Amino acid sequence: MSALTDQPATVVRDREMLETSIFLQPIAAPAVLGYFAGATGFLLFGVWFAGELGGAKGAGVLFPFLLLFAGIGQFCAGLWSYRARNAAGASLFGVWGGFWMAYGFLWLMATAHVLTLPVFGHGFQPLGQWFIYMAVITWTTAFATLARSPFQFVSHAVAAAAATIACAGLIAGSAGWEHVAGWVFVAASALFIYHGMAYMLNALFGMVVLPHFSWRGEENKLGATPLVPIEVPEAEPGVRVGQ
Amino acid sequence: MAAISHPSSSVTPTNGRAAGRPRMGVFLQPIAPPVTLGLWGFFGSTMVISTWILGWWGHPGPKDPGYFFIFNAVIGGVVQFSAGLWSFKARDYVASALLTMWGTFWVGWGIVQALGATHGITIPPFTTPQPAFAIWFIPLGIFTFVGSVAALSPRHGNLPLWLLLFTVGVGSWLFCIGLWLGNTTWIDVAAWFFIVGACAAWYVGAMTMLHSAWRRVILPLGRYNRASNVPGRQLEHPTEYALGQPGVRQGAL
Repeated sequence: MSALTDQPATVVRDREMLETSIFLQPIAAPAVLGYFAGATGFLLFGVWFAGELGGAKGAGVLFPFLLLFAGIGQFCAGLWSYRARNAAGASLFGVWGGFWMAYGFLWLMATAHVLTLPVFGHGFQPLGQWFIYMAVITWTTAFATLARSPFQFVSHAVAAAAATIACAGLIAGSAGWEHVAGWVFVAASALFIYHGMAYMLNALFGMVVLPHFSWRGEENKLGATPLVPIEVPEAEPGVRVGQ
Repeated sequence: MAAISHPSSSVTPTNGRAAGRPRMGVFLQPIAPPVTLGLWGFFGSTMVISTWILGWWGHPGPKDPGYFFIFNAVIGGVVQFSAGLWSFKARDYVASALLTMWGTFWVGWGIVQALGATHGITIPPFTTPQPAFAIWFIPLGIFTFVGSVAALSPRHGNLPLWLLLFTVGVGSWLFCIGLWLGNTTWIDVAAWFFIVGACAAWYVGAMTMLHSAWRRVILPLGRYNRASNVPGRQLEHPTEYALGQPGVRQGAL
């Protein structure tokens, strides 16, 4: 403290005296966690929604993992996407993370007998209404990913289609449409797993192992170099890639 | 404290360095625009409750919110609040204040509904005057309306943002009157304002995200210059190393 109080403050009043620089900080791709957590949410919910996990009884065991990994995990990936400078990732992972957190809490309250949820397959208007807006948001985000890769657009569009069918099934009270939506969610999950794996493996192997089928042809060639990270190999984690 | 109790030192014009001090500089760090996620939360929450108030779906009375309040509290609340905090890093005065404020509103409303669901309090229907709830909407309306004035700024504002904040600000005051009097006509009129505001929120979120992802104008930005409103125009030139990891490269997932 004495060193601080003994010195005068440094105040600059002329903008020209300041050295201004743009500071870029590399991070591991948040999309790996985002896609893995998103895929998990779609898989768990999709299989359950398709009627394969025993209705309400199955959901009682399902929701903690849905809330924590698909919810909080994916939401954190969304927030880290801000630092990755990816608007589509921040929006998609952030909003679906929030959705699964809320859905997990809904089941938590039902399990604690605070709420009584409708019988499975007989419609659920409030949840159906929320799926309308999740579908709108997911469709919008899909068009953002189209800027980079038509394959990623298809993957996000499948997720958006699943949400669209789910809202129709829940509002109409149609068990058949709910089952269809469930399996489309499972398909979206498979596609999300692919993208998550591609981001991880391509970065770690230093070459394209699984292509994203982006618009730039050179990014799709197996063995091509997708990244040349800036690092100091013998330094600490953060200064070099990995731990 | 040192800055208050001692006079300022002089700084040489050559390098911004004072005697005995490390060099002073400003570093700027680019991030993805946080406003989109925040506005998604606002859009979904506001649409769900406004359409319910207008009777487009569900049952009148306090039963339905018992099911959807959690989604509003988490997506409209926690998610929007987080986007508001990230907006400080984006140096956005309007988003950092208003997304955070509306995020706390939805969390607060969720707490009220949770207390209702656990029978801690009794939530009355809209036909019953609720001045204690109505008064929430006075500051919400004032600050949102102030945001709409800020959205008219020639340098930083845009018309879709103005429409969003103006309709939600006015809607908040109308909602306040309706709740205070227990008058559902005022509440319905407010719900229409909220629907217009929610649609504008989707538009602002979408135009910002698509502009960032495509690196060019996709949806007109509504700024006060022609280039910003012509689809296909490139307005920003990101600083990046094309083969770098996310953060060094813009737009990498």
